[in-house]
Amino acid sequence: MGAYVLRRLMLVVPVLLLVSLIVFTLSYHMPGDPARLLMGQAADEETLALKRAELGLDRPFGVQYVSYLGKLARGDLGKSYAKKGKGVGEIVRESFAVTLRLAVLATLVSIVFGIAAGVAAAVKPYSWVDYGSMLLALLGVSLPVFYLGFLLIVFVARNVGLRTAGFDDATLWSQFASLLLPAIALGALSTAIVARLTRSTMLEILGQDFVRTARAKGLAERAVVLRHALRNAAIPIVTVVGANLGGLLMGAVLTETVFSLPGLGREIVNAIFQRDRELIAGGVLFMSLIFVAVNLAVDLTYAWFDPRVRYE
Amino acid sequence: MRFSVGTVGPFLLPAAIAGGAIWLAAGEPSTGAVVIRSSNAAVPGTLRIAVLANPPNLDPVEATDTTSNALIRRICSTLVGLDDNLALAPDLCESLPTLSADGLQYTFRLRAGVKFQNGREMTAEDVKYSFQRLAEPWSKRFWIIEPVKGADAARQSMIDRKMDRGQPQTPIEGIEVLDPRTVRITLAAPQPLFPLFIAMSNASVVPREEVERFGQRFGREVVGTGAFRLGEWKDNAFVVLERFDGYFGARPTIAKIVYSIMPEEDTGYQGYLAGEQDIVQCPTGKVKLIRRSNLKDELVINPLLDIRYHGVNMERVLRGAGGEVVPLGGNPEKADPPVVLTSEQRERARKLRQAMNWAMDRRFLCEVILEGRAVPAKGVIPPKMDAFDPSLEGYGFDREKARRLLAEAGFPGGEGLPVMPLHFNNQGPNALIAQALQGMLLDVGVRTELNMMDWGAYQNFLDEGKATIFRLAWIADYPDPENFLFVLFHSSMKGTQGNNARYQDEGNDRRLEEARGCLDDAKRKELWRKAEAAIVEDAPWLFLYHSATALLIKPHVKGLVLTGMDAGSEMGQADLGKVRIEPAGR
Repeated sequence: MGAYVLRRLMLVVPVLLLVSLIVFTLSYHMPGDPARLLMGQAADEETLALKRAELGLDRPFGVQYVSYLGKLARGDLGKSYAKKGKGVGEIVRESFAVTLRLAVLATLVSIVFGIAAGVAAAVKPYSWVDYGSMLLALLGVSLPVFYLGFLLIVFVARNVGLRTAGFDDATLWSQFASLLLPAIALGALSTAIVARLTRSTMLEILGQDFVRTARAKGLAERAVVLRHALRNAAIPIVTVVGANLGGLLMGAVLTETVFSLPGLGREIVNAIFQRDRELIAGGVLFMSLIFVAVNLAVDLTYAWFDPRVRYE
Repeated sequence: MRFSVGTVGPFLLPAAIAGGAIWLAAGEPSTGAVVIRSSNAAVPGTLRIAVLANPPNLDPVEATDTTSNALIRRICSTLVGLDDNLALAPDLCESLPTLSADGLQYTFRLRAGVKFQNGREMTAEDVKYSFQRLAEPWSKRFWIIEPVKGADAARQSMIDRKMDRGQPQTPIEGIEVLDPRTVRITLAAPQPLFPLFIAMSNASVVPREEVERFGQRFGREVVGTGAFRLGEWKDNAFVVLERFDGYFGARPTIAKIVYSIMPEEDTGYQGYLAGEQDIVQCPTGKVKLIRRSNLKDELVINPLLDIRYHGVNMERVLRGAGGEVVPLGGNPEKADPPVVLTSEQRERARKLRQAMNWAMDRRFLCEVILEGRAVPAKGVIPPKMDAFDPSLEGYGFDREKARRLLAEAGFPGGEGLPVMPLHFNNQGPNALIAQALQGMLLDVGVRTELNMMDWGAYQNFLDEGKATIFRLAWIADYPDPENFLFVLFHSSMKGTQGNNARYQDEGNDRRLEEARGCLDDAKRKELWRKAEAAIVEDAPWLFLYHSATALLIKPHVKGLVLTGMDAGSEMGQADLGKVRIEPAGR
């Protein structure tokens, strides 16, 4: 398993190199001049040329890219053009701290409510519980996150006294209160997917021989469902949850915008509008790294759920 | 027929979704009085404002956006500022500067005992240092200090020696420290607007030691002499300003200003209704509703010193189906490749532009699309500006006249006129405005093709002179017609500097230069009006409207006076030091 992990980790290097090249190339060729955006609406050509020189934008593409790689090799993600004086590493670290909390909370929402709804629907198929759960799941899949977000702000936040928007990191509770509704909005889609997947997988497993054997042994239904059936249904669910978590960790720009959260997704979208190339490249590289790491973690959890899995 | 869960179930879902959608889409009633549930919760001593954007940089010489400038205005001070009527008023100076008889030398006498927020007393040396920063290579507002004698040479010297941050400045010859409280500034040529230039927050006085200590981070750690000091700042979340107890002016009654950064107008609005915000921008599409609601007294429409227009690229050449030249702009001889128009073609081009102006239903744009947050423009100078000419007729809405002019231009009913590209950027109501314009122009026979771009790409597109008809806006940097007419129409400002229509006319340049150099206020006003009338007649733009900011302000916010330069909820000019929070019942 150690060799497997090492091999997977080594693959990260070419992946990141390729990502950096693609992102740098795209942002370089994107229409729009970072210097022009920084200097405002009425700047003369001389001032613009000075700004380009200050940012190193007057150098050829190859030189800029190699210089950027050099900085990366030293662990420096570069400087933001628009946020003067702030390093990309610092910006990514600050914004990812919010995104991480939001993504974890949204994933917890999807695991708890998704699995609960899926199991309930599978245990009592074609009942009101089943239809009710699947109706909610369909709504979760259908409602766009920004719309659900506004519904939660208008109908929930203002009625139960939660913050409508913004991130208050003063205490653990204030953080939780700031992130709960965004996490529900963001986790709705994952919850729905997990619920539907859990239902179908559980229905299949509950009909299998080993479940009948467990029941025949006189095990309580709760133990049959939770210990035997659910554990066997876990691998596809973990795969989906893991993939969703990877996606959520890359930032949820719509949720972050609707709830005014200072997360990574919003930061990178702002950087795109500002043509803040090093921030775009640094942010996307960091996202790629996270995605690879989450996928690896998901692969490694398979063995815990299914001891037959071997890593070659 | 028996209905079971299995048979009814599949129909329940679409019915529920459709019902929900209808209920939500119905929203508030379109007529009659409306009651909107809104909390008036206040935090004593704290003013809470929702702004749309994160300030990128609070270093005065590097700030160009409205949010940064608004915050700098609170943290720093300038030698002179603007009062509630936008008239020049002393700020760090004891009184307005004295001017020598030749119009070249301004002498500023500083107030005694002014302290920076780091505790040190401000002196005339700080003024000299701060003004020289405007000439440093990374300054974004060199033009403020450009009229000063020796400013060009100093800047060039700093550029030539590739000056880095923290290195010594090249002194500007025209800035002299006479004593610790007196500064004399000598201009290269008379510039009556110079005091207005240095009233901009970019010319704020800052302490050298803090600039040197923080280097590039000064924009995030700015220190000044203003009524508030920079407190906690969390990017894309909030910025807190705290009262500076050593402020030289009247002590603000509020202890704190909290700016919440909320890019979505509707989120800020919900926060306002929940009592979490005191001032927010009224969301697009909600103005009419608010006017009919219990919140109508909280809605403030503040007309701005601005102009919104669609420019015509005067260097652009259109080609007809057979490749023939279709005159649109006035000076395509500057185009690449150049085309020389005959005087008859020039006149036809002018009539075409005038026809398009007569086709504009500005009232529809202002009343329907912008919900009354704008007034139709007759020319360029905004109505709240002193030089505004109420007798200027401008262009009304007259389709018949438009059609007649179009025929006189050689395109009866638009025949022979190619489809004209119309470009705009994807912000605010721009798309709706562009669509309305397209319809209005089509009504008289002018066909256009709409193209939407994001701001970055759009700015480049304009800079390269590729646009034919393009949307732009201009908000006053300082309250003088020069900031509109000279910047937007003088040939020396063509391209990136403001004259995006690339308008070039010798007579116009002469009129603008004469007005700019005139030292007699009354005569200057007349000269600006004359210059404006000639520009309007030549129609290098579709003059559309002057806009207003729509704010929602809680009843417990007292003492706030808005000016024509308070765009958005940032309110870059208003004196927030005078604001009081007085919750009901107290």
